[in-house]
Amino acid sequence: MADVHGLKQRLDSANLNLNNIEVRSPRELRVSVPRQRLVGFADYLRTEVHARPELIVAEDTRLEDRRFTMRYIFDMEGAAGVVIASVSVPAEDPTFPSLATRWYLASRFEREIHDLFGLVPTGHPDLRRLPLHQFWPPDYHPLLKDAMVRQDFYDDGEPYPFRRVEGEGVYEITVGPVHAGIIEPGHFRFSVEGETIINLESRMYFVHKGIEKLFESATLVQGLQLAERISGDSSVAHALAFSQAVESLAGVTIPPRAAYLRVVLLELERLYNHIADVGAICTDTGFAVANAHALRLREDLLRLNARLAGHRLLRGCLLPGGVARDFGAEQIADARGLIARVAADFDQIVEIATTNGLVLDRLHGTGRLNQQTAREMQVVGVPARASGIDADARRDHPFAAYAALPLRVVVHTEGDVWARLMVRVEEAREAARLIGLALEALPSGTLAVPLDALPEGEAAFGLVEGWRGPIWHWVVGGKKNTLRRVKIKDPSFANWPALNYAILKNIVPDFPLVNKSFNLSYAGNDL
Amino acid sequence: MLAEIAIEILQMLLVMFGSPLLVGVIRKAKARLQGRRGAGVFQPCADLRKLLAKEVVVSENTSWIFRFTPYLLATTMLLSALIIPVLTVRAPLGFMGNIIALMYLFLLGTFFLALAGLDAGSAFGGMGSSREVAIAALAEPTVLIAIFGIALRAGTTSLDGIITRFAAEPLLMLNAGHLLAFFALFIVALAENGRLPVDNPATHLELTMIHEAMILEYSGRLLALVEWAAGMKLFLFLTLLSNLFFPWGVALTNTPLPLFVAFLALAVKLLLFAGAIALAETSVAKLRLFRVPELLAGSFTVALLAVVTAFFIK
Amino acid sequence: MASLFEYILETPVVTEALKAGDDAQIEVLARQIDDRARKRFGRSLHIREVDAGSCNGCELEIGALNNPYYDLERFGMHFVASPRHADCLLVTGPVARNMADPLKRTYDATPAPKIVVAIGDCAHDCGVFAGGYGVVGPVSAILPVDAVVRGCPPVPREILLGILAALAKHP
Repeated sequence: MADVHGLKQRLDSANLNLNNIEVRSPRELRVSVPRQRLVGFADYLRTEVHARPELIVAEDTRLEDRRFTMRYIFDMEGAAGVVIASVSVPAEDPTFPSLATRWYLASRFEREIHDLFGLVPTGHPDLRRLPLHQFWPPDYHPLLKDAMVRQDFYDDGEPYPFRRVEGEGVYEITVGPVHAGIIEPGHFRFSVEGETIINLESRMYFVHKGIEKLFESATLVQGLQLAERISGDSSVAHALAFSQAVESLAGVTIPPRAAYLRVVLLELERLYNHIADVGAICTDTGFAVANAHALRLREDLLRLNARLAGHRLLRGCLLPGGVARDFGAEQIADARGLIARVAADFDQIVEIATTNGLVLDRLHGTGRLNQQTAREMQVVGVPARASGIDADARRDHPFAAYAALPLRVVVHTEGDVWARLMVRVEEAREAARLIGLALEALPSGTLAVPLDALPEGEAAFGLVEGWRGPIWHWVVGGKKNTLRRVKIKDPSFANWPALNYAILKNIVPDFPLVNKSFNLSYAGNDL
Repeated sequence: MLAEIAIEILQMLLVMFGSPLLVGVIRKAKARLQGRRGAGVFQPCADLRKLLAKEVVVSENTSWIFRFTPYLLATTMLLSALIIPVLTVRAPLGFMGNIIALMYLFLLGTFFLALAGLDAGSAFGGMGSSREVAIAALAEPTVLIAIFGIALRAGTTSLDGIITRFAAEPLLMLNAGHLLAFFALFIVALAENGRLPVDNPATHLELTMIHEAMILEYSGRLLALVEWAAGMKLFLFLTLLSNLFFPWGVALTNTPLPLFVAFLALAVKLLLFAGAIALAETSVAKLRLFRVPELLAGSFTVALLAVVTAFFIK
Repeated sequence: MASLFEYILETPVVTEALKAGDDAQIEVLARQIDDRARKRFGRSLHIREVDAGSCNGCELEIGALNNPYYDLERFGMHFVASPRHADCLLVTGPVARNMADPLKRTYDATPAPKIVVAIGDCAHDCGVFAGGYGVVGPVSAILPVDAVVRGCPPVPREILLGILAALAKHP
């Protein structure tokens, strides 16, 4: 397997006309790629080190050098690290070569950039709008530094150009954006033959608020508060990814006690969410009793969170440079006792649900996402591990104290609702175990290190395996310790399109169940 | 004459006010089984009272069918209450209490509700209607066949006659055919009333709904009538099951004491049924929609067996 | 199946009593509702939740109202699948530009009398999202709001209090 140094040597001798090949860390290689060489470079990485672009970031740097800067973060297979390619796009010719036909995920990043920056990916086969809905002015690109606040929104009644399926007996069912139940908004359009779904189109971005723009010129404290509110149920994971990016930028290492406490916090978040999801999957099969008890356990955990961290969703306990709150001996004993009780109770609920034949019948074979599709769509997190993809950033890109803890990555191969349920069940157990281990091994010492001023114009990423999957934050330092650009990738961004495939050939009434087994974030996707 | 009218009114009132209570009891029992306190048993009454006072919002696209259907539904249920032996086998209109007439009354309601679901023009309404009609088509024959199974043994298709006969000769019920007919009817009662494992009355997921999907567009008193009618249908189905298969207590004469005993007996029987439904709904999941025909085909077969045994095992 | 019923028997009902000593505020509000709003909604309130742009944190806490500890249903409240069935809209989040129209349409589809409760700091004044280019404004910029529950997110008990307060206040 290629490592970063080996790759540098190969790139040096590969005659790809690259500039500034720099090994920034043992797991990170940075390189400048001329715009016209991008496709060739991407193909080289794909064939040589099986790298895929996990994140594409555009930045309006016209004020600095009259150019846009694009960054492509390629993740190499396994745990080899990342390659970050930067590409300059001159302001007078705002186009860049598209990677859309090579990677589907890239096509969606490019559509986003097309909407928000007005940069045109040349050769992109589908430039329908993504984050901005139809009634936004076509020449409004809000992430440009000089974009004015606009009021000329005009709905001409022209609908989004959904892909239509026609044929005898085919009809459409539309759902949303406001759904029944207590969930976020999104629009789904099913083409159905009888009860069988033959196509699903989803339209997201109903809760697009412009978070990335709000990060710009924010202070670190404001940035942290925003990060905690990107996706409410992933407050720790997003705050942690943001903090790690900032720490990488500032070049600091957090104290060991903070590293272990971060593990505890992240796993607490994973635990309460996974337990709630298991209950929610059961309730969507009509087995409400399991959900009632799973919700009871989640409430126990949320109350524990409040006792430990002062906030039920664990907000306000992280800090770039470390953690903001310490746990005393009593709190630790409280946490260990409660989590042991919850874990035992949870096992009973799982046992009851998974021995019920009617429940099982709903789970097995429903909403199957096969491994090849999952790989090609760059699905990540829980759905990826349920489709046989053995990837987990806690192991492959260790952060906090994960390198020191014996982590078991849960992988199932069936790819159906059952597999996604079991991944959650086993990861919940694993989270309970990791919390115990981390609290046991908790080193003493300080909680945080002070940060120096962020280097202006420099950029770094933070990567965290949240309970949904890997979360990327790309942070560019600005003037006077503010932020110049922050790009966020929630795992939901990669996983939403996979749902449209998993549901094919399933029946309409199974959609809520399949959807719940993915349980993707709308807020994290829409930003 | 006056007494006869009084008895009919009594039966009707019982169905009208007993049905929300029955729904409330089932919900309460389910809440307790889920480890919650749940709402009081009178909650459905409070819901109905509130809905009756609310504004009715109707989409412009709907026709008269949409507005007419709730009244029709409530009327068919009240008519059924007149001809079914709820308390007594000697109800004045009981002579019309023939199982086929009853089925047609129920079907009329189902038919119009399905039309109303389509009428609203929403995707869910149409979806619910298509599912409801498919289930009704599979369920209704079972009801007829199962009741024929016991009617053959009783020698009459009149509901009053069946109960009178069984009350007089309880040993007639002691055979496999009777049990088979009971199971077939119980399953159909669950399917017809949108209970688990066929439909989930507690769900909020539009895409999975059957009955609820058709009534998503209703509001105010129209919704109250539809929900009330649904409650009455459940009440009538369970009353029928109680009185046909456990005829003890049903008044054979229209004098106060037997009527009072009948009232108490019915209350006890319905409470037991409510408990059974709550337990069943707690321990099962919802069937995948395509398994529902299998379940109903199964219940049809069971009903058919009940008829066959009536012929062969005398 | 046997294990299910064993589990049910072993697990106590954890629904928390809201007695006078336990939470005087709720008691007082509940009494006010008895006196005034009772006529209007009885002890029956059907709720439609609309996320107009929240981070999902408020949804998580609203969802917690259904858990056995709070058991919203015992107050005669529950969440319904259609705005036509609703008496109360719980609206969360700053109103995102793409949600302004769906939010308004949901309100229009809800039959009168109806109340609107804005849940969370964002619904009150856009919170940390104030100034976002995709944010139209707080909920009150789009709908008449009867009560606001502050907090980021507010805890379930406060949400319950907010709904009761809105009921008590409603003429």
